Amino acid sequence: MGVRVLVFEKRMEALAADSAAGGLAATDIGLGFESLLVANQAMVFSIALNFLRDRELAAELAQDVFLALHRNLKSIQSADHARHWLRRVTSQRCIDSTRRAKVRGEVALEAAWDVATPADSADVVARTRMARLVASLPEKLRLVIILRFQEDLDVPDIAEALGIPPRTVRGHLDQALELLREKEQRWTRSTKN
Amino acid sequence: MDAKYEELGNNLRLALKREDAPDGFATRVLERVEVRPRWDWWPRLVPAIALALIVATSSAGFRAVKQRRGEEAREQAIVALTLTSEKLQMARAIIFRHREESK
Repeated sequence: MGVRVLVFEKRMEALAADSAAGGLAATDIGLGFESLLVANQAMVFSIALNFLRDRELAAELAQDVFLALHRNLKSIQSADHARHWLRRVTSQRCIDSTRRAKVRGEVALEAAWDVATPADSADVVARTRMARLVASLPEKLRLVIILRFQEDLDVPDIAEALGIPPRTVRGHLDQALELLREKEQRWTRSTKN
Repeated sequence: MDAKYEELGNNLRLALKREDAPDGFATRVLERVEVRPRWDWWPRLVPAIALALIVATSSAGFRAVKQRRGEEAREQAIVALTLTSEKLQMARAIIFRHREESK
């Protein structure tokens, strides 16, 4: 097992940069599960992180998603299919994890999330504030926003990933953007006063 | 997207930019995959199990047929012996009668 992990780590170093930039087609690399893992780890982890705002929980959820991929590897037909599958399963698990957290009575998202400190740059503060506003959205609206602006998916692709009609996605997107705009304006007014 | 959301959209893209997974993430997944008990070996046993079942059933069937034939042969032998014994009895009786008459 150790040798395999070492070889894999070498491959991973070479491919990690491409992965963060937008993903590699597994068929181009020809490495099976390992290549799918390397090509999509940034996507899966980032969806979970942007949704949960907790690095540990996000990493745990992403690991579970890849284990599920490994169990279902025989049904995966191509790198594209794997990417869609991973997006769909990650989205479902994000929703499930918040439901479970509610049942367990865990700390609310905003309370658990690190707020930017005054020492951070203005850019970091603005990004942190925006991410926090996204985290305050209801689950489904939050997921639609993440898939739209992190993954740059259009409405039909988001609909496919979430298993809901495109019209519903459009509604969620409009509602989420309106909510974010209102929250942002409220925040701007409160800081001016 | 509406023009009023243009700036908001750009801010969202920046805020929700993809991040690399934590260091060692892929290695940990790979380790978990390898540690997990694998159950994909059992389909390979199916032909062997099927063959063993076929051999076991056919040998049991063969034994049953052999036993039935043995029993049939035994019954036939008993019938044959009984018939022979009756014939011998009859022959003995005839001989005995002839002897008695010749006296």
